[in-house]
Amino acid sequence: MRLAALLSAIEESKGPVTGIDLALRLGVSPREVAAMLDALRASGRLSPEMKPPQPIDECASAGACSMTCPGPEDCSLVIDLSVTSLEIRGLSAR
Amino acid sequence: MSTPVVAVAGCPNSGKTSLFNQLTGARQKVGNWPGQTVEKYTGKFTVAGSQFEAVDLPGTYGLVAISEEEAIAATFLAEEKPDVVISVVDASNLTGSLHLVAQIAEAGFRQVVALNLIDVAERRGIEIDDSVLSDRLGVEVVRTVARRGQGIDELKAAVVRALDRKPMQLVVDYGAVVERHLGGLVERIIDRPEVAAAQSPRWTALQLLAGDRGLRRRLGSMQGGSEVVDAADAFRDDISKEASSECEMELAEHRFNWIAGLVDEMTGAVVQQTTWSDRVDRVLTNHYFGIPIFLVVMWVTLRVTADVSAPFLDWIDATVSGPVSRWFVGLLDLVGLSGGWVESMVVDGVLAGVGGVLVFVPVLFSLYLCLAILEDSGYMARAAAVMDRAMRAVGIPGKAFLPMMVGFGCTVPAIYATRTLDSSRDRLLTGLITPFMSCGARLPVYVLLAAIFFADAKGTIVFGMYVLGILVAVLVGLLLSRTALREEEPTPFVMVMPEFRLPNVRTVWMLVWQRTMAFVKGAGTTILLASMAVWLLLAIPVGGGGTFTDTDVEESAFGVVAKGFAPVLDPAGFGDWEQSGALLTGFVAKEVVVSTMAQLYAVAGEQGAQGAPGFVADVEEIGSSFVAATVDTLKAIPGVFGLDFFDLEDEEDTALQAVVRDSFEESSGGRGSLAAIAFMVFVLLYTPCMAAVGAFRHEFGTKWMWVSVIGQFLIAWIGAVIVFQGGKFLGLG
Repeated sequence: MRLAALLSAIEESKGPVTGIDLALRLGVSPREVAAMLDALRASGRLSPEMKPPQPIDECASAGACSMTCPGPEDCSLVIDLSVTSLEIRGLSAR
Repeated sequence: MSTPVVAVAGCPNSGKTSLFNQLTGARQKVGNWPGQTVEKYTGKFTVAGSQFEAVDLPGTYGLVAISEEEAIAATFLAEEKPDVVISVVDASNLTGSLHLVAQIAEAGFRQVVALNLIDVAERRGIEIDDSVLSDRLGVEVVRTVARRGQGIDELKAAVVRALDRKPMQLVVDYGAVVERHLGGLVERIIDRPEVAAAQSPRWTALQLLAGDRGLRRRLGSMQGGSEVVDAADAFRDDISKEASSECEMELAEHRFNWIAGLVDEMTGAVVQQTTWSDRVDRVLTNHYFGIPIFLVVMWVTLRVTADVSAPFLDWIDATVSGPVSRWFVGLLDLVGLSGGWVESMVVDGVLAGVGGVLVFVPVLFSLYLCLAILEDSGYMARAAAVMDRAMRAVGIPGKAFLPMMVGFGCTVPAIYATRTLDSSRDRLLTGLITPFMSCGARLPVYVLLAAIFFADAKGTIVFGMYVLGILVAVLVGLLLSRTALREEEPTPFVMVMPEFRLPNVRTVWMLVWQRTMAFVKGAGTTILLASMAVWLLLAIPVGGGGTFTDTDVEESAFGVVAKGFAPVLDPAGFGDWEQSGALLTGFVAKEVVVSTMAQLYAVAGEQGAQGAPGFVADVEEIGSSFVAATVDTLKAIPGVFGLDFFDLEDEEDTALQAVVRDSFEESSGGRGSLAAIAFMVFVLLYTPCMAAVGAFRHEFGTKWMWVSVIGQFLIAWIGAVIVFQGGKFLGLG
């Protein structure tokens, strides 16, 4: 029941939690946590948060930006954090 | 005979797209998946005279249709039934990739596995026995490095061979409880011919027990489908009761164990080892060390930005205010336009304004260079995690720091990034505090004033402004979350961070170049227009005497408006009309604050008009001062880390710096440095720019836009007054 334990640990965190946090909490290696997260993701229990719908013209509508707006996906002023947020979908773990 | 269809499936970042491109070359078509916004790529390839059609499925980790991408992949496989599926596996992350492979095998498709990124796996010391995978799944495994085209011919040949093979269905043992109910559900499916013919009954049963919504919808339109769905729901409940665990978790646990065993057999369990990235992570995201480390990283970044780039700042300033101004005056003289309003507009408007801002290109370049290195190494993700944790501790939504970090670059995308938050309350709260994060455009103001009043501690002063921005954001967030926007139950989520890596030179250079050019383009558009507008308003006489372009600046339209605003700022120590005028134009964009100062003090043009050493002498001067700036920059680098090997000469104030110093000393009654800090605090805290206001209105409506604009102005004013009056009270400055 390792996946269920991981899901419970995520739920109990009530906010953001990293793989390292979960590994320390469950007493396993960060690699094992990563593998379990992959399993939960593949089973549909964890999903990346939906990207917000942002058509190109929306950003440009702000008007005075100094760039020709290429849209948020390609805006070079956006600092890329490369973080994926995985959220629990469906019912709570028991 | 119709063209065989080959689906290319794989997880995001497995190199699937590179492999698809290698497979099909230029023979691709782009469209959209039916009824979806996700792009669909198809193409053709030929092997030994036989043509195949390839379809690139969206990147997905599994086939339980939750996200749009998963639904598309699952529906395509179920409805189109491709002849062969190529599963692209990231060899450096086998456990992540094999869930999809296992599910495709359980669905009973003819499959070829492309063991991609094998070079990365080898570099990490992961040895893979692919015969294990081949034997257990009954598939051919081909080692590929798709981005270099390695293994593509072998993969094509394997597809041809797979076509001649009988499809084989993988059977994973899901344990006694699940298998008993699974068998019952399979029997119900077999009793309904239309449902049974759709795909393998066992696979249909597994997907229904896993809660695949897409399949439930598809079965709804089939004869007997609704009964199967109802039966599946009953079996799910029974499994949950008997196993004391959710049905889909039971399935996931058994599949996970099966894959873990498979990976252990394939690799000898080496992939479970802790990497150096994990060890570094433990320190960088540590509950106690994480924030101090983040502050040290920021301090070094801003010292590099403010101190190391200073010699080049002086070089551009001298070049623009000297040779370039002289050349423009000379050119105007050649075409007979010297001495009139055109010369005034070019020298006092364009050169003073735009040139005054372009001086700061080296500063922005340094900032963007440091940020790009931090981003590409993966550190920014750690910083976001650490700050998220800290902010949640004071009641601000955990995800707030993600858009706030984006705000270090530009406030506009940061405000749009608030959409990633869950509730409207969290989005609004984050939108209200994000503008306090110091964006790149405010930097020139800090650097100018810090260089004038705190030449020996420029970096520290700039660092202080950034930290103050974070503190004010946290305090305002705290206040709002305790009053108007009370905290809701926080959403749990996992932040998956990229592995640490050495920054890629090309990626870093592209980021630095694009961002710096955005600043330069801004100087050619927004700042140029603002400079022309300021020049025009300065040229129009209001009240007193004078004519167009020949009026006392204090009696100009701009001067009158700025003088009207100045008393409001007097308690903060910067109540001169030039200072208030610069802040007024700063509502358009923060870069304009410096350009307006340059125009109002009208020093660049005057200096440029003086003397005329000649073109060759000018070019020589530019070249020699560039070399000197480069040497000074190299000498300044050790100083960032407290190692002063070189005795750098104190730089003299430029003409603009000298007149700004006098102005602040005068407006503050001799406490210029105190007034300068108050001015920087005001610039940090009031409305970032018109674009940010537009973005805020777009996201949160007009009412909250006014709350934001007025609130920021009040906070900025109070902050500046506290700094100046408090400092005065303590005898500082």
